[in-house]
Amino acid sequence: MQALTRLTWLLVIWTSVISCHPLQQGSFLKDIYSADETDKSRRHEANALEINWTARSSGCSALLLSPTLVLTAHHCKLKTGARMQSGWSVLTDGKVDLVIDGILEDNPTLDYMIAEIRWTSPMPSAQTFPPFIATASTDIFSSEVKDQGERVFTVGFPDDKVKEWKSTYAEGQIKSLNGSKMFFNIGVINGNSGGGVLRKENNMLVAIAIGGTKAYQEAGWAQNSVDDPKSWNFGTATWAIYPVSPVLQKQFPNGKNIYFGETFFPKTRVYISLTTEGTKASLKVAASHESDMVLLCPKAVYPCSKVTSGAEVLELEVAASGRRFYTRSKAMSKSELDDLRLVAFDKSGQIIGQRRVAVEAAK
Amino acid sequence: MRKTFILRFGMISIIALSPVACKKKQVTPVQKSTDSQAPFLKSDQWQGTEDQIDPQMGKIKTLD
Repeated sequence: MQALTRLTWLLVIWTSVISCHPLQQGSFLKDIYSADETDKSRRHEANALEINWTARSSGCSALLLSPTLVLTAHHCKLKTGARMQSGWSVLTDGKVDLVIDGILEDNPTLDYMIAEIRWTSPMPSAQTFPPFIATASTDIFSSEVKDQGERVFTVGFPDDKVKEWKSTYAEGQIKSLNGSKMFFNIGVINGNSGGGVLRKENNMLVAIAIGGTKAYQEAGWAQNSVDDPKSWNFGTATWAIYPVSPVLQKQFPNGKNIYFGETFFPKTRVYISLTTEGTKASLKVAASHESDMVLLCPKAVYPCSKVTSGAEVLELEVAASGRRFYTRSKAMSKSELDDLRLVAFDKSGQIIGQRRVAVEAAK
Repeated sequence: MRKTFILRFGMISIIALSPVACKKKQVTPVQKSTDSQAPFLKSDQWQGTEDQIDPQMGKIKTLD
């Protein structure tokens, strides 16, 4: 009888606890920013693509730069022989599949560490690496203005979600820079340390997640405003690390990852605007601040260059908010709208973005 | 007899109070800002992260 009473008690307590903390997505568990609760695209369980941007080490996150190099925070105190797990292995409930073979760089001032790694099982085909690294602060756009600043993301293993999700994707905007520190409103907390912060537009590595104003469960750790500078988190900017890191300079000469060789990766997306005024259709184009020229290519050649016959240079209208906006003074014809071919170039004349689209007529 | 009563009272109290305790943990949803969805080029603050196609023209179809 006594055993039955105890069992009933346990059942009652367990039921009350579970009903207060449902462990499914969309639960009432607190988040770092209020915006993360209302907008799940800002913070959610990493999907099968996103999880490949992280690796798990003891209590920290990390980013693979190549099949043999890993970047993480100095304060994670990883040692030679330590074991890690790739994001893919975490997702698939696999085994620990990485071992640290040697520490190549360990910098307490900038709080970063680069180590040589070895796979203990074949590297997953889904494994990803950053194609670019920011080597100067001009590579990014930061702004303290509401809703402004380049969009960036990190994937890792934050303490508040570690029992709920296999891994957490979180994004926000770059808000300000101060020396080697980059401040952003990505919802990161203990456990995110060492994770790469990447520019959403082109997966350029721009920082390592390092810290914030509040630790997990400390008063005020959750439900902060993304617009409040006091609650912005921070990381070490890569352009502060690059000049003192022979490993990064070797792996990313001119900011591009040698792992990918000559493979083309766009540095900018090309967004278009088409508006009608009477019977005329006008075209405007937006590309990143790295763009110097946008060409409208003729039908026969794509991508085209400035010397291509029939290629048209779009006029730069305005540069603002980390974007450059281009326009075409001449109205677009229907046949031109059937096959729009746009190419963006940087100052050195390299193609950094391209897009080919058609406009399907409204019914 | 008294012990059984206390146990029963305790159980009833927990069951009765748990919805109240749970309710306190709920988060009040905050309205998402729509500033970033301003029309193309109407504001210098807009960063151009989406296409803006006049509905009279139709919709975009990717070719590459």
